[in-house]
Formats: sequence, structure tokens, C-alpha cells
Amino acid sequence: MYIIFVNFLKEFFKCFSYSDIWVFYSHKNIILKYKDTILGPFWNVINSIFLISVLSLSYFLFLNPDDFNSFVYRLSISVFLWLFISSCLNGFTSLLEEKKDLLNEKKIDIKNFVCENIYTNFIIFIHSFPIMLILFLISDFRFQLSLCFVFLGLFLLLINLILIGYLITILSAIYKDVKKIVENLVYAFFFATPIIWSENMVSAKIQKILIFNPFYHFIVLFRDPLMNNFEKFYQSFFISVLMIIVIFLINLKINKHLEKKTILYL
Amino acid sequence: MIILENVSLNYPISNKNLSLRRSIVNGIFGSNIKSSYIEALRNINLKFDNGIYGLSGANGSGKTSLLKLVAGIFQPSSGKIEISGSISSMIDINFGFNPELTGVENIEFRLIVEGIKRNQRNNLLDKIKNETELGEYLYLPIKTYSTGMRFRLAFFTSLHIESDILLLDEWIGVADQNLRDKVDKLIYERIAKSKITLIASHNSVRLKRICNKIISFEKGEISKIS
Repeated sequence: MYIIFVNFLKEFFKCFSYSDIWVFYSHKNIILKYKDTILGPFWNVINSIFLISVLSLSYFLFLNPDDFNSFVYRLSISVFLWLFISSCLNGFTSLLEEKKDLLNEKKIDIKNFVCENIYTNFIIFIHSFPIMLILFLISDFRFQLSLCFVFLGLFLLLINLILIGYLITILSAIYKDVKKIVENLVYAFFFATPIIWSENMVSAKIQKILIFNPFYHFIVLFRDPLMNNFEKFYQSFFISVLMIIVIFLINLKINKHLEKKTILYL
Repeated sequence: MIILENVSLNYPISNKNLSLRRSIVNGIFGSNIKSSYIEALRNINLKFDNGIYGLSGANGSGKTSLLKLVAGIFQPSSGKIEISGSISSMIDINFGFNPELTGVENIEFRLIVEGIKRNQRNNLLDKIKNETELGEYLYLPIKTYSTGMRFRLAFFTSLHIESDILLLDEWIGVADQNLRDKVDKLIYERIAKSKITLIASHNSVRLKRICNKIISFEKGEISKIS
């Protein structure tokens, strides 16, 4: 067990030494995806802005709040981050199918493709940072050193995504139902996670249930430091670390039993 | 050296295995129904020292599966494979190319995948670009290429990937008549640079001309070694 653990850990980190492969493909993916468009990846940002505008307007018209600026800022961070997470999750489900030809020609570690998918979506996500910065400047929040915790949150989110991605990628190659399950779960979690609503709007009982929603912790890890709020950050930090350990152990099992068979199912 | 000991490879049959519901139900309640699979290779014992080896047999006899096992693309369902030396493969005529990327981008990606360092990559890229003689087509997506053009791109790219073990699948006779003599000559040169070459082909006459030893396959088993 110890040897398998060490080997998997080595393999996991080896992926980063092959970053040339996934960086190259990610850049080409983005170029191909937005080929012949004038705005390129900014189209993604525009789509998000449209969604945020509609939701903000509804909030303003129906609830007429005092904290409108903060609401828009909070909503924007959550929506941009959610789109990043959901694009990654949906991308994992068809990853190996798209790389079938390459995988049948050359031995390439599956984790490379997981990193490629995350990196591609991360680059698209980065395009929303200027909007977040503008909204930060017009919000009531001020710059504090504690804002740097957002990098820690982002790091934990990325590690979790790599591990979840590996799991989904392998399972969706073998079990064709997984793609549909993930699509539906992503859809359901959009409403079950405080993205378009806030924790304060729901009862204490529902707030307790939220602890079991992993996406809630991902959102808190990124959003709360940007809102100078650390009330839930540490709790989410520990739960995310715990998730990394649990998913890592599941991946160990998957790696041992399923990875070597995966290519045969493509 | 390549050593295969009691190697078997089973391909899962998709319509039986891919139901998550079935797997969960079987996992909870247990099942007597075994996974369905096809035995692509059965108890293969082989040892390859330096030399050129031909793998012959009809379609579905297990030639390509054996090459993919040696390349590390597939892992054996049972048995053991020991390989010493670097491997390069030309298994598929599409060479794992992305049809949306241009010729140059596909060459570059392949060189990255093969682990060729950045400083060597640019020199090789220029060399391959010249040898393919594809001119300005190299800057077009390869989905616009004819089969012959794709062959040129894949072939000249693979020629420059040096390794101890070379795996070729059905490459003999893929090229058009104009290119065939040149391809033959270059293949011999490339083979000479590798310690071990495994060539899978239907064409036993040409295999006999090139190879030191020919291993014939039938329904996943070795039928003859000559």
C-alpha cells in the first residue's frame, strides 16, 4: 500500500514536469475554440456579465436592497468561479474520448489531460479578473493583506479539481452514464450552492447542510477573502484539505484497479 | 530487450460492461455474471533481442495489440512485460494528430510528446518541414490534407524520433507509388538506427525480405515462428 501511495504521489507530481504537453494543447484549444471571433475568450466573460446583469436586476427590482453593490460584487465572483468549476467538471467527462487517437498511438499519462482541461478553463477564467477588479474598486470592500488568502484558496481548489478530474475522467471513460450524471449534478449544485443566493437568506438548518456541499467550500475559499470575510474560510479550508486526502485515497484505488484498463474502453 | 511472460490481453465488450447501474447492483448484491471480454492475446511468451522482427497474421489476430502492449499503451490483463530501452511507435497512420491543428503545430506537438527539448525542437521542426515537401500546406489544418499528405507528415516526423525500440504497424505499402521507394529506403535507414524493430503487416513477402524472424499470429495466439 505504501509503495502504491508513493508511486501515485510521484506520478502526480511528474505531471507538472510534462507541463509542455498540456500548456501547448491548452493554448491551441483556446485558439481553436475562439477561432475567427473578434473577442476570443472574452466572449465567456460577456456571457457571464449577461447572466450577472439579469440576476442583479431581478434582485434589485424584487428586493430593493441597500447593499446592491456588494451583492453584485459577490454574485460576480461566485458566477465567474462557478463557470470555471463547472466547465472543468463537464470537460473531464469527454476528455479521453476526444484524445482517443492520441492515446491509441502513444503512452501518455491521463493526468496530463486532466491538467490540460483545468489549465484551459483557468486561462478563460483569468479573463474575468479585470471585471472582478473593477467591481472590487466600486464595492465597499477595501484592500487588506488578508486578501492574499485568495491564492491559498485557489491553490486548494486546483488540487481538488485535479483529483476530482482524474476520478471523473477515468470513470466516464469506462461508465458512459457518468457523463450524464456529472452534467445533472453540476446543474443541481448551481442552485444548491450559495451563488445566486446568500447563506444569510436561508435557515440555520440549511446552513448546516451546506457543510456537506463541496462546492460551497470552493466558493468560500475564493470568494470570502475577496470580501474581507473570514468567518467560514478556516472551516472550508480544513474541509478542503480533508477532501484532498479522501479523494486522493479513492484515486489510489482507482489507479490500482481501473487506470490500466481505461484505454481499452475508448 | 523485450520479454513477454504469459501475457494475455482482454478487451472488454462495451454493451455488457458499461452500465453503471449494473456495476452498482452487482457490487451490492454480488453477481455470477462475469465481465464479458474478447481475448485479444492469450499466454504469449516471447523474447526479442536485437534484430528486426515481423508480426504477421490476419485482421484481429493480435498483431497490433501486441505492439500496443510493447508501446505501453495497453497494460496486460495478466502476465508480465519487461522492456529495456526507449520506444517510438508508428502504430496508426493518423499518428495521433489533431485534425484541427496545422501540420506544423502537429509536428511540434508530437516532438513535445516525445520529450524532445525545446532547443532541439526548432531545428528538428525545420528539418521535418523541408523533408515533407508540403510547402504552404503545412500551415493549414490537417483535416484538409489527403491521405498521402498525412502520411508524409506522420512519416517524416516519426523518422526523427530516435529510440532503441521501433514499432511499426502496417506502414509498408501505405505510401503512394511515387513516394514508396523513398519511404522504403528511409525505413531501412530508420530501422538500422534502432536496436529492436517490430513490424506488423499482412504482407508476408515484404516482411520476409526485411525481417530476421517472423512471428505469425492466429486468434490471439502464436501459430508459427520462422
